[in-house]
Order: sequence, then C-alpha cells, then structure tokens
Amino acid sequence: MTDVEDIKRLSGGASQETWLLTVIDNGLTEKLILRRSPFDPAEDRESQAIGLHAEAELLKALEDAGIPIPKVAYVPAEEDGIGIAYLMSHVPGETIPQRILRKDEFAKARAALKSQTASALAKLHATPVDKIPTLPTSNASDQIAQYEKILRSFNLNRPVLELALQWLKANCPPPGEPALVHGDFRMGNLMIDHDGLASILDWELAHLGDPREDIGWLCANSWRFGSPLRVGGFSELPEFLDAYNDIAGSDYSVQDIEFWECLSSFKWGIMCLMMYETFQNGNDPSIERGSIGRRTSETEMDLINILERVS
Amino acid sequence: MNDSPSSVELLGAITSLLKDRIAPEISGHNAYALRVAINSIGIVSRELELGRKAEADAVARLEDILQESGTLDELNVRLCEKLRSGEFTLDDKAVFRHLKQTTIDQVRIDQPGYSGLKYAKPSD
Repeated sequence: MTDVEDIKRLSGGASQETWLLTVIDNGLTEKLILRRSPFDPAEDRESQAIGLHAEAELLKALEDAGIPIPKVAYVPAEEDGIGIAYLMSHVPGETIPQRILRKDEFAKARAALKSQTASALAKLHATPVDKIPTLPTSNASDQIAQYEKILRSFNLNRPVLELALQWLKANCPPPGEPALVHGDFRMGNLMIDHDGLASILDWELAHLGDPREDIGWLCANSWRFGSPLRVGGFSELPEFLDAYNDIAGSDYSVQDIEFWECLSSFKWGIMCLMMYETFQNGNDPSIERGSIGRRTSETEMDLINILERVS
Repeated sequence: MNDSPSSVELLGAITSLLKDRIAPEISGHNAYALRVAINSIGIVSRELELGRKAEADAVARLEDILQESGTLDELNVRLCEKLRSGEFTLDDKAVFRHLKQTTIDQVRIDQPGYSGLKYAKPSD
C-alpha cells in the first residue's frame, strides 16, 4: 500500500514544475522530488531542451560517474496519467545564490566549491559518450547561428549585441572531440549544503559539445550576484582552471574562457529578450515577465566589460 | 504643465506606499511580484530623470561617428548595419567609447546597483 502526503510545489514556470512530496510505502517514508512538464518541450522547435524522459535516462546513465546528482526513483508510464515526469531523490540544501554566496553558514561550502565543481565538471565532461543516451550536438558555431537567428527575428537594433555577435563569429573556436556538456551549470542549478556541492540539477539542456561552454556559463556575471569572484561567485578563474585541468588532463587557459564567457552573456541577453517577447505578445503579461527585458542592458554591460578586456 | 508634484515625485510617493504599507501585508509569490513592480517603478522614475539627456548625448555621439543626422532609432539602424558589415569593429575606439557610455547610461536607468556597472573601467 503506497500513499503520498505533504505535496508542495517548489517552483515552476510554464514549461517546468517541481514538486516535493512524501511517499509512504509499506511503512517506509521517503521524500521525493517530482519533475513534470505540462507539455513536451521536444515538440517546441525553438527549445533546446531534451525533455524530462531523456533527462531521467541521462541521470540513470550517470549514476556511477562519481558526480553528485539526484537518483531517479521512478519514471511514470503513460497510464499513470501525470504526463511527462519523473520522480527523483530529494537532496536537502540551498539553491538560492544570494544566500549561498553571502551567508556565514555557507562559508565552509564556498571554500569547498572550487575543487568540488572543478572535479564534478571534469568527470562529467570525461563521460564516454557511448555510455549515455543520444544527445543533440551543439558547438560554439551552432549556438552563435541559433542565437543570431533569434536576435534577427526580434527586429531590434541593439548595437552592443551586434558587436558581440561579430566578435564571437571572428573568434569562434573549431569544434573539438564532442563531450557531454551539462548546458546550464550555474548557481541556481547547484544544490549546496553546508559542506558544499550536494547535487547538480536541471540537466534538460545537456548536449554534446565543448567542455569550456560549462566553465564559461558558470563565469557569467549574471550568476555571481555581485561577487567579484569570477567562477560562480566563489572562485578566481586561474585557481579553478588549475583544479579542473589537474583532473581533466586538459590545458585550458583564462584566455580560452573569454570566448565562452562572452557567448554566455550574449546568449543570456537574447534569452532576456525572448522572455520579454512572451510578455509583449500577451502569453505572459505579468510584470515579473515583462521587466526581465530590462535585464538585457546588464548583459550588454557585461559584454562591454569582456570585449574591453580582450581588445 | 502642472508639475507640483512632478511625475518623479508621484512615483516616489507610490513607491513609498507599496514598500512601507502594502509590502508588509502580503506574502508568497505576490510579495515577489510586488518587489519586481517597485523595481519597475524605479526604472520609469530614473528614465524620466535621466533618459532625455542620455538619448540626446547618444544621438550627438552617433551623428559624429556616422557623419549623418537622424533619430536615435535611425542612427542605431545605421550603426548596426556597419557593425554587421564589418565596416566598424572592436578596433574602432570612438564606436566602442560610444557603446560603452550608452550602456552605462542605460544600466544607470535599468539597474543602477548592477555589479557590472562597478566593473566598467573608467573611460580615459
């Protein structure tokens, strides 16, 4: 006899819901997380998301990879009637970056995050691609083309984005050996407890590509919430790269990351405009959604700072 | 125009009402939405105070760079065309100085507390 209690919605937008619930199964009590999407993102051509079923398959394939990730508990079948979803273990901790980066209780965690995230990224990037489900490939040039197309569709004149786009095109690195890339590895998607990295969440943007993409995304100023430390707000970049290179056997330099940090701010700027578009066309007329469009200038400031550094 | 109180003063009074008297009464997602709304009123207020000068300055810089006149929108279209065609690049210092100043002025309106504004190197 199985019962479900204490159902609580944790977060969710239009495309993604997260619920915390308690499952009581033959007297055993377990807290689980339900991830559910009301519609299949694979059917949305604009979306790069692989969908929750593919995410669950990937997490299962990574169980023994030595990376802190949630454990998939159950993938509901169609006849369960709750749509595209899966249940996973509940890992306690904090995801809100401002708390993790500022509160005294996370001081020990912050000190540990450099080596923990470097190690987790190095291991996930080293995953043999024949051991994981098929994923889309997306290299730097694919992403530049994809986001240029979206930018053009807005018919806006944003000269800073245009300058960044042209610089990215001129400095785009050639594709390397395709590696597993998380695709959204940043503060907010990392579950942190008092000892540091407890779990890496939100694998929906996983793809095959360049490992430096994850490092550059983690460096984007938008996720540092005022911290001067370039990697996620918790580490300087040279020290982080030393830790990463040691485990990965790579020789990435600070110079290598500039392109990817620039691409990150460029992509995030366009994502802010995409969110504004859903406000403008009336799909989500809320002030919360509409005001995100005004964050684009923040990413333009970051782009100016990066471009000034590299010129 | 009747400006007693001015638009900025009115928005300031609305912000005080929302912050000091309404916000303590509500919780949950609406409390978050209210913070976003208060922040947006701040954007409008700063735009009223700073927007006109920022726009006039941007137009003057663009006319100088492009050697033609027009509205801000028209000049931005021309600037984007020249960046896209490669006629202007990161190496054009006057273009970069203009883009940097325009961005600083915009962030001062949109989010004056943003860390990226502090990281911007002082212009020479």
